[in-house]
Amino acid sequence: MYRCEPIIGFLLLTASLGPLASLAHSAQWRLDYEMSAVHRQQGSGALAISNPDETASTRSQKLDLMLSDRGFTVIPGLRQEGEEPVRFDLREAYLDTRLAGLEWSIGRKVLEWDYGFLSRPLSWLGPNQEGAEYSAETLLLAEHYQGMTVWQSGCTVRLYDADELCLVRVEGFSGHVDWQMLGGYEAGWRFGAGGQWIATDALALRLTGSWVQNQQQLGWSANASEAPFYSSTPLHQQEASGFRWNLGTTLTLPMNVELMAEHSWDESGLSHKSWQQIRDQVVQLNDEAASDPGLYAQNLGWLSAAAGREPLSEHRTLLRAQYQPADWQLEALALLLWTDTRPDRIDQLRLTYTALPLTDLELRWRHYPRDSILGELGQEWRFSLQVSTGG
Amino acid sequence: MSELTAQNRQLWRAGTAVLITLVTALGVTLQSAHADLLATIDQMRISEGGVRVMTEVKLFESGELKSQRLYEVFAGSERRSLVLFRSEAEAGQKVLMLDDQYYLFMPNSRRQIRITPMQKLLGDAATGDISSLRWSEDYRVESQIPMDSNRLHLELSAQRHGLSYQRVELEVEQDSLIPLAATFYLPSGRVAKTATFEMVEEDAGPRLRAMTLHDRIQTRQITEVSYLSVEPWEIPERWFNPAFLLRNNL
Repeated sequence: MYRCEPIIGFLLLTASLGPLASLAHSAQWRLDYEMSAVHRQQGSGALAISNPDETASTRSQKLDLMLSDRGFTVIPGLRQEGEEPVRFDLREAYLDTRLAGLEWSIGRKVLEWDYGFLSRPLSWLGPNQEGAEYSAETLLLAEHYQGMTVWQSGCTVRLYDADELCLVRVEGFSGHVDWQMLGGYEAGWRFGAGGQWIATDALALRLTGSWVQNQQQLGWSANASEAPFYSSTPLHQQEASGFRWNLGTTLTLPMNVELMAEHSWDESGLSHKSWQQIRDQVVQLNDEAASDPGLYAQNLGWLSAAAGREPLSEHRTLLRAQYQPADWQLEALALLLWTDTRPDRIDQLRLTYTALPLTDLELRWRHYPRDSILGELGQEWRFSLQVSTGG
Repeated sequence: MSELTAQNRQLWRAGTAVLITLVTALGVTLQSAHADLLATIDQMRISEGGVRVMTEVKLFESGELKSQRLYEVFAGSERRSLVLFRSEAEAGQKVLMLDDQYYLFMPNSRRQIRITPMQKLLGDAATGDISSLRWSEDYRVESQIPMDSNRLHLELSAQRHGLSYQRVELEVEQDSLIPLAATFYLPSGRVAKTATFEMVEEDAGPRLRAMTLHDRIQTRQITEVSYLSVEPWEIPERWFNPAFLLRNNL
C-alpha cells in the first residue's frame, strides 16, 4: 500500500503554520510540494544497470517548507520513494545577520555560484548541475558589499571526519558582464574563475573553470597498489590534480524560443581511453559469463557502479531547445556522452503546463538509444505535479 | 593681394567659429529644453531622487477583471530600480534593473537569472514598463509638433540601444504637458503597444494615476498599471547589488 499519511499530516501542519508565520510582521513562508510517478523500462545493453528488459513503476513525493523570519531560515523537508518510509531531512537551517559592517551566514546553507546548467565547476558549496539534489553544508561565511562587487570568505564546519573547505571569493556585476574568482583549500589547493557575457539582448555566452589539487578521479589501471573503485576491478580511484571547464551559450529567439548549447570537460570523469578499455573488458567478461553466471553478476556490479558515477565521461555536451507559448513549456534535450568518437546520446522531451498560478503539471520522456556503449538502457516516462504556495 | 587673402581667411575662420558656436548653443538650448520637457512629464509620475512606488497591474478581458498583481518598486538614481513582487502568487520574486540589464530572482532558486526588459509580468505589462519610470533618463525628444490648439505630439527616440522601445510617440496637453496617449515601437519598427494615461489632481499638482495598455492583436484585452502611492525613499546602496538580493528577503 502506498503510504501518504505523513505527507498529509505535514500538509495540515503547514496549513496551520502558514497563518501563524504570517502573524509575525516580517515572517515569510513557502511550501513546495512535488508528487511524481515514474515508469521505467530497462533494456538489454551491455551496461544495463539492472536486470535486462525489466519494467518498474515508482511513485515519490517531495515536500519542502521554508520559514524565514529576522534572518533565520529553516527548510525542513520530507522525501518518500515507493514503499520506502518517509525520510525527514533538515535541508537548510541558517542565520543571515549583519555584524561589524559585514554580512554573516551561519548554519546549513546552499550556495549556487556558477552560470552553467550541465556542469558547475565553481559551485563548491552547492549542486554541481542544474536540478541536482544537494545536501547543504554547515558553514560560516562573511560577506562585504563594495558597489557592484561582493567579497566572500568562509569555511565549512564538518562534524564528521573530513577536510574542511576554506575559501575566498569575489564576484562582480559590470553591465553586460558578470564575473567571479575563487580560491580555497580542502585536501589541496583549488582555484576557479568564470564569467557570463550578455553579448546582445538575445545572446549570452559563459565560461567557467576550476583547477583542483588532489581530487578523486577514476582511472583504468593495472597497478594493484591503488585503491580499487569496486572490488577487484581494473577501475581505480586515485588522487590527482585536474581541471573542470564548462562552456555554454544561450540564444533567445522571437516567439519565446530559447536554444542552449553547453560543453563540459571534467578530468575527474572517465576518459575516452578508459571507456575503450572498459569496452574491451565487457566483451571479454561477457564471453566468460556465458559459462559462469557468477562472473556475470560481478561484471554487472562494477560496470553499474562506474555507470552510476557522475560525471560519466570526461567530455559531455548538452543541446537544449525550449518553446514557451503562454502557460505551456516544451523542452527537447540531448545529452551527448563522449565515451567514443561517436557520442552516446540520451534524449529527453518535457512538456510542462502551468494549470494554475504556482501549479505545474509535467510529463517527461527520456530515452537511451540502443547503439551506444551503454546499450539500450531503456526509456522512462515521468509525470509530476508541482504545487507551491507562500506568504 | 596676399594680405587681402589672409584677411579674408581670418574673417572666414572667425565667421565659421561664430556660426558653429551659435549652432551648438542653439542645439544645447533645444536639447536642454527637450530634456526639461521630459523631466516635467516625469515629475507627474515620480519625484526626483529615490522613490517607492506601489504599483498594481490589472488584466481585463472584455471588461472583466481576469487577474491582478501588486508590485513594490524602488526607483533610484542612474537608471536603477528594484521591483518586489507582493502578490501571493508571486511572493518572494524580485527584478533588479541596472541600466539596461535585468536580473530576476526566484524564491526557490539560489542564483539570479538574466532576463530582457520585454519579459511579460501580466497581460501587456512588461518588466521594463514597471521598473523604468523616468522617460528623461531613457529618451530624447526628436521633434514636437502641435496637433491642435491643446495637444502636442512628441517624437521620442531611445538614448541607448538596450531599451525595450526604440521609439515612442507621446501625445501631451500643450500647456500643462499632461500625458494623454503613447505608442511604443519595437527596435524592428513594429508597434509593440499603445497606452492611455489617467491623471489625478493633488495638492502638489497633477499626478499620473494609471497607464492603460492596449493590445494591438487581442483587442478585448486591456492591462491597467496603477500607481497607488509614490513616496520619497532612502534606498540602501546594497539593494542594487545582485549578490545582496540573493541572500535577503526584502
